[in-house]
Amino acid sequence: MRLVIDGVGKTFVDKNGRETVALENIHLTVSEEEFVAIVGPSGCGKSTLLNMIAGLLSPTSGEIYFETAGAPEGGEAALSAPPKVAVVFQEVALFPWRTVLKNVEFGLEELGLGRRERREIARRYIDMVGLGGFEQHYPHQLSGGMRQRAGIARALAIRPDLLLMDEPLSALDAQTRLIMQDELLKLWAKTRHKTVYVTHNIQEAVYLADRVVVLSRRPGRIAEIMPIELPRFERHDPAHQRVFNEYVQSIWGLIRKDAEQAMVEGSE
Amino acid sequence: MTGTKVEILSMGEVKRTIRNRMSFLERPAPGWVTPLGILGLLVIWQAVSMTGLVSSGALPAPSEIVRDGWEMVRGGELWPELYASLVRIVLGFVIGACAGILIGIVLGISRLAEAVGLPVVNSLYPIPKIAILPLIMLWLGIGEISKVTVIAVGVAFPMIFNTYSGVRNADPLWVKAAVSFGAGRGDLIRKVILPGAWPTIFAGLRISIGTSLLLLVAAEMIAAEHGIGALILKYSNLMMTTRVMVGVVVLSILGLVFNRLLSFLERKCIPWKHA
Repeated sequence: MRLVIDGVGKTFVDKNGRETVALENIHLTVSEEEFVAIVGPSGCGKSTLLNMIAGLLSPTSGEIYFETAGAPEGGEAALSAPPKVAVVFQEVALFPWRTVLKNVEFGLEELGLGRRERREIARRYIDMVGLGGFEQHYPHQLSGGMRQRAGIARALAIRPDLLLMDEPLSALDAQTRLIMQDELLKLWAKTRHKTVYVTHNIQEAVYLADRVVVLSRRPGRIAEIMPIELPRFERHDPAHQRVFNEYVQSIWGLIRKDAEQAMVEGSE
Repeated sequence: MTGTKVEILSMGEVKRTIRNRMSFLERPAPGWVTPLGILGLLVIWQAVSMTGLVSSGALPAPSEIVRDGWEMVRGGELWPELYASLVRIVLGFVIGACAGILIGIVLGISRLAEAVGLPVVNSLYPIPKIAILPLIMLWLGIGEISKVTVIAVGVAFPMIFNTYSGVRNADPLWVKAAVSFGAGRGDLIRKVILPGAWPTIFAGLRISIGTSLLLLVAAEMIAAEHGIGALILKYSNLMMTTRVMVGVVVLSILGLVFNRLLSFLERKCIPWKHA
C-alpha cells in the first residue's frame, strides 16, 4: 500500500478575505518501508501538509489517498478496515492526566481492543522505546526526551500503516536530540513503517531519510526531491562525512534564500 | 562592589569572593512563624480587652468567646444550629455544583447551546443572589427548599463559568492527538476535554465555598428558626456579643474545613497535578 499525494494545494483565507497560498501542486508518493523527510524554512507549509495527510485538515485542491497495487493481502477484510495513521507531534501532546501506560493505550482503546490485550501491547512498545519501569509515571514527571519516547510508543503501538512525525525532536536540547536521532533509526530498523518526517533540521533529514523533499516558501512547492544514497545505518561514519555534508550543503543552498526571507517576515 | 568579600592575601594579591546576591529573596520562613502569628494576634486582642479600652459589649475577649462557646457546646445549644446549617449548605453546594458543571459542559461543547445559553447566563450572573432570595421565598415558601435553592443557584453560576472556560480552553493539541487516533465526539469529551477541565472546575468549587457560606447566613437571617445565621441574628438582637462571636468563629471553622475537604478531593481526583 502506497501513500499518494496527488496535486495537493492549500489556500488559507483570513477574516478580511485575504488569501494565502500555503501549498501548491504537491505530488509525492511514499512506498512501503520508505522514510521520507520533508524539510523547508518556517512558513513553507510543511506542517500543513502533514496535518492534511493525518486527516486533521482538508486540502483546497488535490487528493491524498492510499493505493494498493494488485489484490489486497488480507482480502475483503483488509479493504474494509481503514488504513491506520499515527502522528507524533512536536510538543509531544501526551495527555497529562494519563500515566505513560494509559497514554500508550489510548490509540489501542480507540481501536476497540480489550483491556488485557491493550496492556500487553502497550508494555511491549514502552519497553521498545526504553521506558520500561516508567509505566506508572505521569508525563510531567518525565524529561523531554522520555516524554517524546512515550509519544513515539503511543504512535507505534497501533501498528500504523503510515507514521507521521511533525518535528518530533525540535523541543529537545541538542544532546538529547542526537541520542533520539539514533534511537529513531534503531526503532525504524525494527518496525519499518512508511514514514513522513517533517523537520527544519537538514542534518536530521539527511541522517534519517531515504528521500528528502525540499519545500520552497510562499507558495510552498516542492523545490526538489533528493534521494540520499548513503548506507542507512552508517551515515555518521567518517568515511561518508564528505558526501553527507554535500547533501546538507546542497539542500541548504536550495532553501537559504527562503529561510532568510522567512526570518525577516517572521513565520506567519 | 556589592556582594563581594575582599581579602588581602600575602604577596599583594587580592581575593574577591562572589556572594549570592539573591539570597535575601530566597530565605525561607521557619515553620513556627505561622502559629505564632495567630497566637500573637489573640494575645494582643486579649490584652486590649483586659485593659478595658474596648468594652466587652463591643468586642469580647477571646477567653470569653471560648468560655461561651464551650458552654454552648456542652449545653447542646450549638448542635441543632450547626446541623441545620450543614444540611442546607451541603445540599445546596452539591446540587448547585452538579447543575453548574453539567450546564457548563453543555455550553462548552455545543455551539448552539453556547449561542443561546451564554447570553442568558451572562445577564443573570451579575445579579447578587441575595437580591432574588425574597423572590425564591415567594415561589418556594420560607422552608428548607428555598434556602437550599438560593445556595444552589449561587454556587451554580461560578461553576457554569469555570466549567465552560475549562472545556473551551482544552489544548487543541490534545484534541488533535485524540482525533488522529480516531477518537469520535463522545470519546473526545469523555477522555480529553473533561479531564482537561478538572483543574478549572476545582478552582470554581473553591470560589463557591465563600459564596455558599454567604448565602447560607443571609438566608438564615431572613427566615429561619435554626442555623448559625439565625443564632447570630438572635444573639445580636439580645446584644450578647460574645455569643455572636461564637457563631462567627463556627462559620470560619466551617469554611476552613470545606477548604481542606476540597484540597483532599482535588488530590484524589487530579493526581497528575500534584504527584
